[in-house]
Amino acid sequence: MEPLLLLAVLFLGFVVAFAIGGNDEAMSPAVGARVFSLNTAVVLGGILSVVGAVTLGGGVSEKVGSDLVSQQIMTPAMVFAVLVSMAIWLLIASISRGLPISTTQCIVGSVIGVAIAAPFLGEPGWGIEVVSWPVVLEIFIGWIISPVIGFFIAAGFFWLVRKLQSRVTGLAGREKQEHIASYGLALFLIITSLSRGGNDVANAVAPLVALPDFQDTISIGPFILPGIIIPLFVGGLGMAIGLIVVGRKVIKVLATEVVTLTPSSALAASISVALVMFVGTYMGFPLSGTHVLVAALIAVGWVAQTRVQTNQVKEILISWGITVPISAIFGVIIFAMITAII
Amino acid sequence: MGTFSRFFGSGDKNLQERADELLLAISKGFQSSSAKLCVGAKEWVDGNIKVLEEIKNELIALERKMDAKKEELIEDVLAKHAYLPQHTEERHTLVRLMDSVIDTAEHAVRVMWIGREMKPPKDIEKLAKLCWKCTDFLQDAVKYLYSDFQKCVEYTREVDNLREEARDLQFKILEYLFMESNYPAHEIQLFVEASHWIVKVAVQAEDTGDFLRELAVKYS
Repeated sequence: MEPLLLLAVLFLGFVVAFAIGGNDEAMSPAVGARVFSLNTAVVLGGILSVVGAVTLGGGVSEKVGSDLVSQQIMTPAMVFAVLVSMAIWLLIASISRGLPISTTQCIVGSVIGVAIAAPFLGEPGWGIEVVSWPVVLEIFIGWIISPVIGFFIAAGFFWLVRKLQSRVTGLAGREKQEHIASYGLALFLIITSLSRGGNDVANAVAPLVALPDFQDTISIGPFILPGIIIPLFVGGLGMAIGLIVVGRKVIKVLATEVVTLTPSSALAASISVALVMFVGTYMGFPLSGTHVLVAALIAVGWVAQTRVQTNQVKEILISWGITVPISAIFGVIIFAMITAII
Repeated sequence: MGTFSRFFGSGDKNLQERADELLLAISKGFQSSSAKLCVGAKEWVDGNIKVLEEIKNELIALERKMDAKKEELIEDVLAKHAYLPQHTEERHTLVRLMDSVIDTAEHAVRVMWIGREMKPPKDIEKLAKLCWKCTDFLQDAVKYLYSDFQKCVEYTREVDNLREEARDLQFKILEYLFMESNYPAHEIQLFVEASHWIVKVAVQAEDTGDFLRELAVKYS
């Protein structure tokens, strides 16, 4: 590929990663429980994104929504339309209201939009019949069920934690418990952020990883590294900068404007999310980590009998509801623009 | 990286021990200030102006001593790595509320001192005694907050009950002053002011007790 074009493609990957990082809410339980300040959370989360992307992102090959379109292979223009539209909606949600939305929902919405509009934009063999509606239905059901499961698992888990905590009858003992929980939460979120860095980078740079230009090795001083380090690093860096520049708003909303958290409630919510996601993924349910986390935070707040900010929750739910159609519209517009340019 | 270093450095045992000592000292301070107020009210009623003056000076000195302890707790302990941010904040609120009891007791004894030439109604002494009992229960509630939430809550309920009694007595005094007594207007004004500030000691104790109960319920 031409160096200039390669640079442009890497820049695009960086922008998409920036948008994904800007909507990364993983650190919000720690900020809500005041284990980390907002600045510490975004800087630490940024570093972990880069480390996670470079060390754990190598084995990931994301097929952008291929199940949705009956295993058809999307053209590069279609893939870029999907990624750019996802980036636009993520950035709008993050910058305007700090709303945590699902990257998967954005991808699904824009893939459907692009697939349906493709025949009208010079891509025969696509159209409404290509979209696998049973898969779409399965994904939609997953989005509805995942927050419900997340809510009940987190509520049940935190209820048990509270039962155990109530054995301690004085503030000295309870503060000690919270102290231990704060260390546990920090450690847990560090591991989670590392793994998210590895997974999320795929959404941004998976098409780049497959390019022949990155299949050779590169030498940096005495080190010989695989070429895919470059797109992975660019993706990790994009997520880190996105988190630091834009992500603080999303973290702040989830950490402070939904429920009041303590280290133990935040840890219970985080463990529940990991548990639900692990079991869901193992069983093949398409769950959204964002949806499960929001539901888990509301659940622990409910069990702890702290006030749940219903207006904020409503706003988050509305944003989830409109993500798919808006991403679809953006996908069509971007795809039409790319087609016109080419 | 402020919070980060605070997080990993938090839980300093020496600072926590010092914090406990200072909190205990301040809780003894509010109990002692209220006891002195009670003695002061008795001496005022009995007309022992010299003793009242001594009590007033002792209370002012005590208030300054407790202010110094509060400053030490806030600046040298809570501002450092003693506790997690939310626990630090809770201690800030608790110390502020406890200190307000001492400040109010000082204010009340100063009002009494202004009326040293006057002969107050006897019930003023009873009123101060009720407030002293309030702070006595409050001190126990503070002590039990760290070891037994249930007992802590029980003691804060006692503070509430005594505050109610104190208010009933205050209105009895007011009724006597305005409806039955032959005091000159300026003396009535001063006795009203004195009773207001004495009862306010109980009110501040109740506020502190409410916060203790909030903590006990939140963490139990």
